[in-house]
Amino acid sequence: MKERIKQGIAVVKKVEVKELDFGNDTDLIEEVGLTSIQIMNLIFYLESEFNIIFDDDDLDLENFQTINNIEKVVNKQHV
Amino acid sequence: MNILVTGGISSRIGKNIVGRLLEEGHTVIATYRNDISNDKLPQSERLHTFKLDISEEADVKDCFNHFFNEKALPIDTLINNAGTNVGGMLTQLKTKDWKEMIDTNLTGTFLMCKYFSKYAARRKKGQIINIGSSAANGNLPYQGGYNASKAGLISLSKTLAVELAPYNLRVNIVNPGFIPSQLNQFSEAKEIEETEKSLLGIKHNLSNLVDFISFICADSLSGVTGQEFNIDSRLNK
Ligand SMILES: NC(=O)c1ccc[n+]([C@@H]2O[C@H](COP(=O)([O-])OP(=O)(O)OC[C@H]3O[C@@H](n4cnc5c(N)ncnc54)[C@H](OP(=O)(O)O)[C@@H]3O)[C@@H](O)[C@H]2O)c1
Repeated sequence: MKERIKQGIAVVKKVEVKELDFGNDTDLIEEVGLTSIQIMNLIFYLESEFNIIFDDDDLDLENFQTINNIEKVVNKQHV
Repeated sequence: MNILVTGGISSRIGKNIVGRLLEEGHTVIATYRNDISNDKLPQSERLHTFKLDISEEADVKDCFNHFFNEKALPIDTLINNAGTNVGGMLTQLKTKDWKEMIDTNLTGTFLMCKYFSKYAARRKKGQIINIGSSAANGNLPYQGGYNASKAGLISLSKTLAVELAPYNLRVNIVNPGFIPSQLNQFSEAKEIEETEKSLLGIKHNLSNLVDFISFICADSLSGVTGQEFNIDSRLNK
């Protein structure tokens, strides 16, 4: 799942996934430089990729700040 | 194509749209709020119905989950036709009536767009047609809540068009002119007034509205999004 999340980050950043060199606990905003708009597009991408709809209550920035956090919040959703 | 029309059973405009789309061979999902008797429905194997209050988020979620996931009937086009109008001078309009209009016309349409887009984006294909009103661009008195909700719909539709374009989803808004219906209590006085404003002296444009909707439902208009269309013959709204 982590690879698929990383692929989403590459899509919203408009770069190749191989250009992304960071760990699963790296801060996607502070360290990877995702903008708030890119985060919103990433959320939309993840819903589509994993066939889920995030609960409004889960749409906290913190849940999307690292790959590990994203994995947790994706696992929480049901279709 | 598979097309969902809110208020497609009881609304004067909605049921005319549903009838035409069925005639043209589309599969149509018509939604209703109050229970319906089957003998009043157009007889077609391509007609599906779904009970839904567009201002209830749970209903809206269920609806799209039902068609996209459970029934495997993916919706290509969403026509947000359901709407409501409670008249009255703004200074006397009851807050509950104001809220009802905003909840249905604006929040309800927003919810339909929100959940539809999540599924449609996965297919990279889909269109939303929001039924607005010429009232959005005018200042007709005694229906200020309605005017404001429909004006909001224009902004909602155009912003969505921008946000959804990368997913190949299109959003357009169609503004009918005056058409006698439950919504305006079939007001004869208003019909006369509106006919006088028509450059062509047309009483009402329901058939042209239906023609236009069927036209923009066609796949061939794949290059049109973010647009507002007035189906009307009046310059002074
Ligand atoms: N008639 C006109 O002159 C005119 C002009 C410009 C724009 N429009 C727009 O055209 C659309 C259709 O209008 P119409 O003239 O056909 O009106 P209508 O005959 O009064 O129909 C309104 C429809 O909306 C449904 N509805 C209302 N609130 C709803 C909710 N919360 N959830 C689900 N459905 C709901 C109603 O269902 P129930 O039967 O269950 O209440 C009904 O089917 C509206 O958006 C209206 O604003 C109309």
